Amino acid sequence: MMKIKLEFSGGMELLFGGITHQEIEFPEQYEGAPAKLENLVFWIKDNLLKEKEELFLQDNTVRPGILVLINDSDWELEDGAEYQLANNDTITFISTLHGG
Amino acid sequence: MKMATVPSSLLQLKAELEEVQLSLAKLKQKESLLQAKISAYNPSDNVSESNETCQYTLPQGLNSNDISRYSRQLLLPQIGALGQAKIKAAKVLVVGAGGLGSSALLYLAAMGVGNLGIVDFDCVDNSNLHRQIIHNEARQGLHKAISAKQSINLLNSQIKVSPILEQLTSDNALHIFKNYDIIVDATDNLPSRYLISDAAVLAAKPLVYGSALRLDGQIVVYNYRNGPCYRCLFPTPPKFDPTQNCSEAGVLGVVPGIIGCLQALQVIKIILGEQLHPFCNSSNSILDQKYYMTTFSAFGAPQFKHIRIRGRQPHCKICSSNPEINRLIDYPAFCGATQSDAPVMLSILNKNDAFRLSCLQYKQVRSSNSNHLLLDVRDTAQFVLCSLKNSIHIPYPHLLNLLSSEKSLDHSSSDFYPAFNHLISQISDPELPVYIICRRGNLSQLAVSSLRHHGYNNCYQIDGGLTSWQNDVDPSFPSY
Repeated sequence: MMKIKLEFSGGMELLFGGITHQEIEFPEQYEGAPAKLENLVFWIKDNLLKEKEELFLQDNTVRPGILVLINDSDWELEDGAEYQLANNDTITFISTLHGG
Repeated sequence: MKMATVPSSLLQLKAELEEVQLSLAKLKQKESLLQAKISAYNPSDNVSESNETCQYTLPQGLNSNDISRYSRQLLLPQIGALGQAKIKAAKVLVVGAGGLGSSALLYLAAMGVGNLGIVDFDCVDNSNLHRQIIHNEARQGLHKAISAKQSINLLNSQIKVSPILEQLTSDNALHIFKNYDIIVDATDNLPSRYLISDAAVLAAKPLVYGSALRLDGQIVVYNYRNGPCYRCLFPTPPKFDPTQNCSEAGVLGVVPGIIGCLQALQVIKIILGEQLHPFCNSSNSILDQKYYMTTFSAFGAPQFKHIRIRGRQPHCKICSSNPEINRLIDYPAFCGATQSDAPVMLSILNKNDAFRLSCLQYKQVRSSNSNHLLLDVRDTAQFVLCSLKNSIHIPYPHLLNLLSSEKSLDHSSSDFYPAFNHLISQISDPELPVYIICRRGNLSQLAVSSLRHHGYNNCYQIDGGLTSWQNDVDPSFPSY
């Protein structure tokens, strides 16, 4: 099992019962292949999400307006949902704010 | 009154005074003669700084007053006279004179940014003042852009302030932007965010984006030094969620203030031509550039984070080399939302639904003492602020959960189970109507239709909610 740190901020925490930090154990292999970030996203939807699914996922990916970070770096700078998870990774979900 | 003998010393003093007055008059005459001579040499020059009489030199672009006024920041090697002159000559447009704009504008003016444009069509409201510190109680009802100009000029009369009392739109944005060097996005809604970003790209101006909600804030510099634009990060707008603005979700007063201060700082760094994140860049090469979003979380640990964001996207619809969008579009349609953070009015129930009544009608129900239940479906944070007497309180999401798990066993763990139980035990009585109220009459419509869906039909919607109650029935009921 790998240790993965999850962070939710910018209002994302409201979809997860107000939790901002959580450490989870995640299998290194997922359905016969090394675990990818996509697997984790769906695991989070099934196990942690407290609100309606559409507030987190749309068209089988994280919905528009949410930035996903791998160790404080935009997942677009890595392989996005295809990123292969590593032990001690921190995965952050941060929703864009537009209030003022 | 008859004077007694005048002491000789007094006469002496009087004579001395006359002498001084005479020589003063002569000196004044000489002064004006000299001034006339000097003006003849160089009529446009300020007298005190003219080479003829001035025995000192000043840095280009700054006057004597500037040197003393900005001395504390002029002493910094990162600013210096050259930097201060750049700051004085800069033209910065701040869109939004609200929570973010308040601190951004005050600091930009205090630091000496010579030309400030302020776009805001809204007026100062009592509920703005916990965060919008550029305004005050005496300015309630005044245009925010005018109020902001007044505060800025009290702080620094040398700043040229141009208030623009219009909503920024696709029609006027580029015309307004062209007069400024740097754009500050201090607005409060999604369509304006996309409009400002697209206009900044088309006008080729750097954009300093700030946002704040609840306890969180974010700041990014877009469209600067080949960096990304807002669309590179967020190509698709999220589905409109009316709960995600300050008037619904709330905001801690100092949070937009902190973000506005950071925006003012980034503006100064852009004016000076500084690297925005010098500690992150090992070289100045474009290929090596890294771009960051700074996030702030008031109760978080750490409070500040720098997160690395993607650079300019090769397929961005507006800032790529072959853009799909070449002019401003209809942003409210693009985002499915209006260009303000004003409350949204839902229409779930039919307009002519027989089970709707106004607050005035409900007041009659109350005063006639007819038997009924009043159900308040606002969340707890709002309910504790003020509620009508004898309300049953069940927040809408809890009501929904309790209704759908009515037959199962796990619902008794809810904090609102006793209230729900009380409601359900009486709701079947046809003689006992249930009136449902919320803040504005939106959630109550959802509640009425959910209750109907579960077979409870004797439920009435109170239109306009407690906001209307305050407006039409009891002005002393607090508005929020």
